[in-house]
Parts: sequence; structure tokens; C-alpha cells
Amino acid sequence: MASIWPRLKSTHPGLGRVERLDDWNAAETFECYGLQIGVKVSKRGVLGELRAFFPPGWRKSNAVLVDRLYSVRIAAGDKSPFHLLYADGKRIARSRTLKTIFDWFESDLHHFVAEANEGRIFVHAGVVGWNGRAIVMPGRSYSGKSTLVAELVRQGATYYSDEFAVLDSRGRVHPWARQLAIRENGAAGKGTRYPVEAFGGKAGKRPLPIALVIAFLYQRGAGCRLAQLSPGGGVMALLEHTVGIRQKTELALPILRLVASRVPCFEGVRGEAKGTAGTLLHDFGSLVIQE
Amino acid sequence: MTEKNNTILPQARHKDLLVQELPDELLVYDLESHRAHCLNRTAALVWKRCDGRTSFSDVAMDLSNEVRVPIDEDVVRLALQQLDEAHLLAGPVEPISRGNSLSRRRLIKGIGLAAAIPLVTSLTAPIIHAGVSSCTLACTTSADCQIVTPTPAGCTTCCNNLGVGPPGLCVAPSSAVPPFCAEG
Repeated sequence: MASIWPRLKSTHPGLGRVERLDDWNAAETFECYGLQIGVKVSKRGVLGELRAFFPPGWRKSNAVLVDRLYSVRIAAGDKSPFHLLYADGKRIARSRTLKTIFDWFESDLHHFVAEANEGRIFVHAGVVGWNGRAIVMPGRSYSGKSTLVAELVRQGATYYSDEFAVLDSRGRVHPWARQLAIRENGAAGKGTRYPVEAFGGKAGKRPLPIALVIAFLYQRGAGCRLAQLSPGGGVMALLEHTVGIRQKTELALPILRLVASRVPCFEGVRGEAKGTAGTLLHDFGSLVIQE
Repeated sequence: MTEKNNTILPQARHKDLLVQELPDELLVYDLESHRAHCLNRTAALVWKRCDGRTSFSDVAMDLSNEVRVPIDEDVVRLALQQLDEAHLLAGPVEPISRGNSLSRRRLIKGIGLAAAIPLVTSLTAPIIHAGVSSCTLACTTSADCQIVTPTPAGCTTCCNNLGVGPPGLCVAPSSAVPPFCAEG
């Protein structure tokens, strides 16, 4: 029966040891951005829970050979008290709590898709649609992207992503509308997941041309002030947050240049999300420092 | 009238560089060091003229024509200094003469046009990819972190400062401090 389990297209040192384990109970293969991804678990019910962390736009697949293979071994009493997560045969997480395993699974999987897909560039950013065009806000994880995106959605913007701006060769941004991850009062961790409907909004479905790029730095209690970047400064602001830029430089640079030379790019500080979102959508000009 | 400086500019480096033209700027990505450099108009013009044949005087004259103000050769020197620091030159740069270090402020004062001063801004391309997660392991207590010593192959540190994973990771702030669980 082992032959029905998804297998990696390429062999990998260390993979064999995990493959030789014979306690797999269920498996699934799906496709996302042209990548085949396999998941196998030692406990059938866990597969359904993992599905909630599959990337936006995934489709079930019948492929046996995959580009990335995740294996989840569930703790089994005192003898092996930890849940284990493997990616391509390498252990990437060990924890007593399944939530930690799920967080790692999602983080690794989403970054794998962002990096390994061919043809699209993923920039760490919050994205909303407004008047038929996109506002892209590049920023690191834990920089408050999701909170600001949620507030923009509350105030009428269309949700595109709180994680990645997915850019195509024409410089348009595609939806990556996973559930928003909101950390209450700056709490640590991945935060609680909310569907976009919880903020009275809806997710965009079509790619949008970009209207604005804004690299915000959150400062508690600060007002919102922005300075316009040169196109070169805009490329640098995007490049700093581009996933896999070192591997996909030749694809990414022309796309980033295209965006930054067509679209005004800004950087600056912002305070609380509510005030920032309102001004951003309804009185953008007042935020810009004239030089 | 100042004496003509016939010193020749060094050659620009072209190997392992990706170049993107922007309006009034040049973006240069170093595939070797994975550093990106944004050259403003003046720095770009000097870099493009670094062919091992052109003199300081010629470049200063070109710059003067371009920005329509007289440009001192020190501006060319400052550009070369920055280009050299960014490893964008193939040949050596002559040391700054006259015992003066060149400062942007002094040159702006002399020229009166900030935009004419060369500027090279640089950043290191981030390592944000799925592979980094193999360098980090989730933990629930500090005891869990013992499994990451020695550090997994291919990792120089075991840390969570790359912004790609959830907290609850083994963290090794320095080689002197053993890994501990950030939430442990």
C-alpha cells in the first residue's frame, strides 16, 4: 500500500528514514501555483484540520510525485510525547501542541509556494482593493499588516491579502485571501483567524493594477506621515520584503521595477490602524509630506 | 581656472551584476553578495563612465552639462568612493587626496544643489524562504531546545528573527548562550 503515498520528485538525504516509517494513515495531494504538494499523516482526522492551512487557491490533485512533501506524526503516549512535522524528510517542528505544528505547517508551506512557484513574485505585504486598484503595504511579519488590512476592509476596501502581494509579470496583484490573522493587543503567536466577512468585507477575486505602495512603520501613538520615494527607493522597499529574491532575482527585478516606475511609492510612520485607514482611503493627500 | 585632472577613472565591474534602468536612477543587484544598490543620477553617470579611459575632468564636465551647475571633481571622487564601497568597480580607486575626507554636506554647500551629489543606497536581499524553517524548531519548554545543539547543518544560528515563523521557537542569541525557548 505504501506506493499510493505521495512521493517527492527528487530524492533527498534523510527522506528515506521518514519514508520507511509505516504508520501513515491518510494522505492527500494538492496543487497550488503549479506546484504539487503532498501531505501524509499518522492519524486520519488530522488531515481535515491541516486543510484549513492549505494556501489560498489550492486544488485537489491526483499526482503521486510531488514538489514538497509534509509528514505529520502525531504523539503516541509516553513513548513519543511529541507531535512531529517533517518537510521533505527534514524535521522542522516538534511540539506537544498541535497548534504549534499547524502554525509551522502553514508558515513553511506558504513560504514554499511563495518561493518555488514559477512566474509570480511574492512580497510580504498587506493588500486591499480600492476603487478598482490595489494598495500594497509591504512589511515584515508581526508589523501590524493584518490589523491595518482588517481596518481598511471595515472601512470599505476589498480584501486581497494580509500576508503576500502576489505580483505577475504585468505588475498586477493577485488575491491571496487567507483568513486574516489578528493578534489581540499585540499578543505573541499567530493570532486568531477571522474570515473577511467578520469585518463586513469581501475578498477580491480578480487581479488588480496597483495604485499605491506604502511601506509603513508602526509607532504607538504616532500620527501618520508619509514621504514619497523615488522609483529606485520604491524598488528597494519592495525588494526588502520579496520572498526568494535571491533565487528569483532575474524574474523579480523587472517586475519590481515595473511597479515602482509606474506607481507612486511612499514610506513613513503610522499610528493606530483606525485613524490611518480612514485617512488613507478618504484623504490620502493629507498624509504626504511635501518636500 | 582649475587645472585639468587627467587621472583616469577605474573600470566598472560588470560581472555577476543585474542592472535595471529607472527614470534618473540605476538599480544594480550583485548576484555574488546579494546586495542591491540604487544609484542616483550622478552616481549612475559616473559608474557608466568608468571605462578605464575617461578622465576625472571629462566626467566632471559631463556632470556639469547634465545638471547645469559647475561640478567639482570632488563630486566624482565621492561617487567613486561610494561605488567602491558597494563593490561596483573592477579596479582600485585612488585614495582621496588633499587630506580631506569628502562629505556630502560640504559638497552640497559648494554646489548648492543636493540632487547633484552622488548617492548609492544599498541593502542586503533578505533570506526569506521555506528553507530557513529547517534551521529553527518549535518548542514548548527550554528543554526542547537541546535538540538543536549542535545547530542543524547549513545553519549558522538557530533563531527566530527572520520573521517567517511563529514564536515558541528555540532561540540562540549568541554562541555563549545556549538555545532557550522564547515562550518557555
